[in-house]
Amino acid sequence: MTSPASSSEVKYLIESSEGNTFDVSGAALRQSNTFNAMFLNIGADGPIPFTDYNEATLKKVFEYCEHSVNEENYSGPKHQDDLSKWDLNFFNEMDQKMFIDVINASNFLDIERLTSYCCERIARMLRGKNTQEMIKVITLPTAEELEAKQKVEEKKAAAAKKVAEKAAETAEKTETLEELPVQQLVQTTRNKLTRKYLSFSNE
Amino acid sequence: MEWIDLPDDSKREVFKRLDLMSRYAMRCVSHADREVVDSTDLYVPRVRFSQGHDNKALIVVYTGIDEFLRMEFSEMKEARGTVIHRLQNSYDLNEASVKVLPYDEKTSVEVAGSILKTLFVHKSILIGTMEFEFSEGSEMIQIITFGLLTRSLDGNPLYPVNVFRVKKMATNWYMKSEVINAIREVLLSKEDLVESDNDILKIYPNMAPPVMAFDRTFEIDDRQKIFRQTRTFMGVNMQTLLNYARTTDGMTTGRFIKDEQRAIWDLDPTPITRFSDQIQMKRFMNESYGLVVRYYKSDCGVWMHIMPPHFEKKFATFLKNETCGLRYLCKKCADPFEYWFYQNLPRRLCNEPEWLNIIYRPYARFPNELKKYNKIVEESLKVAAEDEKRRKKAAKNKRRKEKQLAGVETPEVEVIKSWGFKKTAAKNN
Repeated sequence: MTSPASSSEVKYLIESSEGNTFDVSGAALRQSNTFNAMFLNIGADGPIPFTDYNEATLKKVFEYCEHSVNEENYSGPKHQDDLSKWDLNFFNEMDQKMFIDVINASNFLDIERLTSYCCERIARMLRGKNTQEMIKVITLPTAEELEAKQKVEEKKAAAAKKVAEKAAETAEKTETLEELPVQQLVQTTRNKLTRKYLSFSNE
Repeated sequence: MEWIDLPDDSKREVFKRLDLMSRYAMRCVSHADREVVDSTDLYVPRVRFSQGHDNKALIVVYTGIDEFLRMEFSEMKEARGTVIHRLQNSYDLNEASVKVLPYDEKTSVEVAGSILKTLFVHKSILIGTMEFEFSEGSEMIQIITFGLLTRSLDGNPLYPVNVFRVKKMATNWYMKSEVINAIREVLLSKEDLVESDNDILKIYPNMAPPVMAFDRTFEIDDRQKIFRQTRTFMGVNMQTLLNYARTTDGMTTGRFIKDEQRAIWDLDPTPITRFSDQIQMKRFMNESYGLVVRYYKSDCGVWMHIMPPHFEKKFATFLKNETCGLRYLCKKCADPFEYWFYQNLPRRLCNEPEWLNIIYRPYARFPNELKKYNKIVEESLKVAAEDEKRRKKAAKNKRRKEKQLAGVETPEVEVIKSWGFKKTAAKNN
């Protein structure tokens, strides 16, 4: 499916964190400098694993890449007011969480244009705000929320520990059970041999 | 994924796009964000500190073309304390966000100094030009102002602690050379400073942007650091150049952009040599003054360096590498912000009448000259005010025409006011 190619017809398989795969055109992928550096010349056998990012994020990223295939090469940040209608719709559809996911994926894939526009949008959300307002925008957890989150994590860790302990105990038991027939075998053999020896000696 | 999970690189990309005050607010969001903000480089084109009359002080942070933050500090008349008027892209104090600081044994200069320190003393922040503008006064008053400024930065005149990273220092002509040297040595980082300018703006009754500049370059050190004094003229005054050159122990330069000034080049009979692909040069010795004249012409304009022969050797590297000698007067070659700044410098006459210490004025000990010059300033003020009205009207008409051409109602570009500079900010801060 995937081979080093310059034709835009070539499709590449992308694998997401869920293990799902989907097609992306070579032309769209070539907007990623990471892809260009890693796969463009050598090709890829099988799906390209971008498994740090979920399917929705990757699809969003490549939707943008597919759309901007025919645009001129990126030459520095564009003023937000100069964005096309499609671009504006694309960004308006995303919530803040998606923005952050897309920035992260786009930053890893090194797609300058998308990273730049997303960062500009986040920066616009933050501009002119004071610290408290910024905390609300980036939905940073408060001290109480952090504490609660920590407690939940501790509980989860304790539960996981318990499960692990139980599993270990079960494994021990299984081990003993599994070992029994061997010991029995050894014992039986030993008994037989002893008997043989004894009978021999008796003879 | 949430904000806190975002890698530092991605956060840095966001912070690069924040304005100065948002960046400062972001520093207080969390320890992790503060570290990332502090590792994100910021370039501020120009910062101006002015010391005025009646214990007033002023900070103007120029963040781009037509974009600035203005903080005016004055001491309260009845109760003790400092009042800060904060304005964004405006000079009208009625639009200001006002903050009152209770008396803390600090003068306005010290309060301004501590704000400068909070905003700009950091290794990640580089300032293009830092302008120090002191009002007319004795050397002692200037030394006291410098001392207050240094104290507010937690520094000691002998052992500086906090220093600004500045590429170019600009001072006004009232400032004594001892104070200029002290500021350079104590408040600015030596690694970054490449130019030190002492500016004078000489105005003429007909309000116009500057058309020529004369400067005296005293020193260009091994690392091509330049120290010079510049006079910017809004009218023509060739005689000054020759007077300058005769008395300068260094290189005197005249820079001209007007076409009629280029005619001087054509009149000179010296044979032309080609200095580079774009520049022609005439070099001759003025025997009567014992000075070398190097005369250049390019598409941008004409400029001439006049100096004693030994300075030609001393400044050889600088002269060899020069590409356009018009500095901030050249629309094509100058940094766009620098060009905008100097083109609009004369507007201080009507926009900041209380802060005109960059403008040349004869000393009080020459009352006749002063009287004559004050008249010129008054006339210029009137012309400047009319010019400002005309400019605003023209801008409005231009916008209307653009709308008509576009055929659709285009919304005005929304200017997001910086944190602390909104009119309601005083209640919250």
